[in-house]
Amino acid sequence: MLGKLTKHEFLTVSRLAIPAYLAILAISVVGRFLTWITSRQYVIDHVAPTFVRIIKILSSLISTVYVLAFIAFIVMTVVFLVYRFYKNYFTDEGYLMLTLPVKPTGLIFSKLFNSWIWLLFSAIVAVASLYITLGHYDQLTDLITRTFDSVKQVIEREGDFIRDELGVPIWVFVIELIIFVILLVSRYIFEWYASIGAGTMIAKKHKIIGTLIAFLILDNISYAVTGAFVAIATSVAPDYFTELSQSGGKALQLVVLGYSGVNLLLAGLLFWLLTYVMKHKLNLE
Amino acid sequence: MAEILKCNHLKKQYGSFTALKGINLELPEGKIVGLLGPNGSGKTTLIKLASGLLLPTAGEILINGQAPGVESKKIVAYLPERNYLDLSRKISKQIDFMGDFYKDFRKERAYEMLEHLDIDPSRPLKELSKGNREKVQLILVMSRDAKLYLLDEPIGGVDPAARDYILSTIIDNHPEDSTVLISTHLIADVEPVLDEFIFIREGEIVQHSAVDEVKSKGQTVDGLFREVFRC
Repeated sequence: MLGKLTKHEFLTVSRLAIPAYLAILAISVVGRFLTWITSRQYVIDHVAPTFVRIIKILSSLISTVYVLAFIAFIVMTVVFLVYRFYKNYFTDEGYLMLTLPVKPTGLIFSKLFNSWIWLLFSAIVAVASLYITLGHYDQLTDLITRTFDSVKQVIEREGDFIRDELGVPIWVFVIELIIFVILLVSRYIFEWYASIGAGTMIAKKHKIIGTLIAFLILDNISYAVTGAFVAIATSVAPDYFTELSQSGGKALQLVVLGYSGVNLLLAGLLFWLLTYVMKHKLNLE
Repeated sequence: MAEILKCNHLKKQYGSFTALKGINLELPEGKIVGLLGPNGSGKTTLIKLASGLLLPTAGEILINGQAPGVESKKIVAYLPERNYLDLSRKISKQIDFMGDFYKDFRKERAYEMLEHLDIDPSRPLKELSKGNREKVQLILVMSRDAKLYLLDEPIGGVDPAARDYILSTIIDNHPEDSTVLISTHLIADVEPVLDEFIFIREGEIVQHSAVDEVKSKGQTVDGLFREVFRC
């Protein structure tokens, strides 16, 4: 059932996301084309100056539109994914979704998986659109290739040194970083989901205001919990942390692992709060 | 006859307001039952408890012997008062959606009913009129071979012709051994199709009888309702 929920959610989101992706890429292409054409010597020499000027004005306008569209694109991706959760489960659509033969866990995770997928796609589209807009493709491609090569060389040449510094092989550290990012993103997603659950429970008439207030409270609690963990850890073993701070690699690894642990704990607590609300305190009216 | 729905001292409170005051109820299989009462009497709360959208404050509610949950949702078809459709979908996609989640969903029946109403399944739901959206929602519910149908005010707010269509759709499409619980305050319209009726007032069941029993006394359910609920 989780697979089916994820599939249907993916299809629904794709109907809105794909046109948005195409639009941002189209603006990038048009903007890039106008910049390119007005910089051609042939165009400058053979086309009426007024016309070139108009194209340059258009190009500037497109650049402004692009910057605004790009910001809107990033913000709307996050807002839309959060709104889907609210609309599906906490408005009238909940009468269908919450009476499907599926556990609340399945309902929540299908949305979480979709958030990961669409955030990843949005990041790829954002990079692609920047790539198109910035131009200088040869130099950019060359830069990317050289960066990859130098990283590879460093790993080959300094593999033992990195392992000694981090205390683990580099590939283990890369996996730790990926898990760190997944847990961090999941925690933020659950923070929003739990805020929707708690906000609609508290504010029966003004659900969105309730959600925003709940988010401010939960976000502050999350920071307080993280801060408390750091304070407890450093006060329990101050010598260890002083020693550790001398070794950059190991300290970095500890931060990554420790922060992952705290995010896992917070995500778990937020998930529990959300399932509690969905099971016991549902308020669809 | 086995009970498809059973309530034991079922109570539901919203803060200080008690919507259901410890009701006891048994519904057998294969009956069409009217849940009749004025607005705010607890009809919707009872249906929401049976559909698993709410949890009881005290007592229990059992569907086919089990507390509402994943298993009961497989055999319960619920039509709420509200429009629950995702309007960004096409009708055909909504049918696929229902077919994916309910093994007892009969796609061919859904398409047949849509054709009968001359509604094109390739149309997006947002393009339909309010009345047609309600009909599509009813079609989705009645295209299931469920054991228990919970229909909350299915004929409220529609014209008399639509009421006839809705009631005939319910009668023609529910399996014989299934139970249909219809909540409404439009007694005269549903009376001809009912086997049993329940009068509910201020969270308490005041009468649960067979329609034939009332008829044998030369009364109508509508008349009895007016008598019992006289202001």
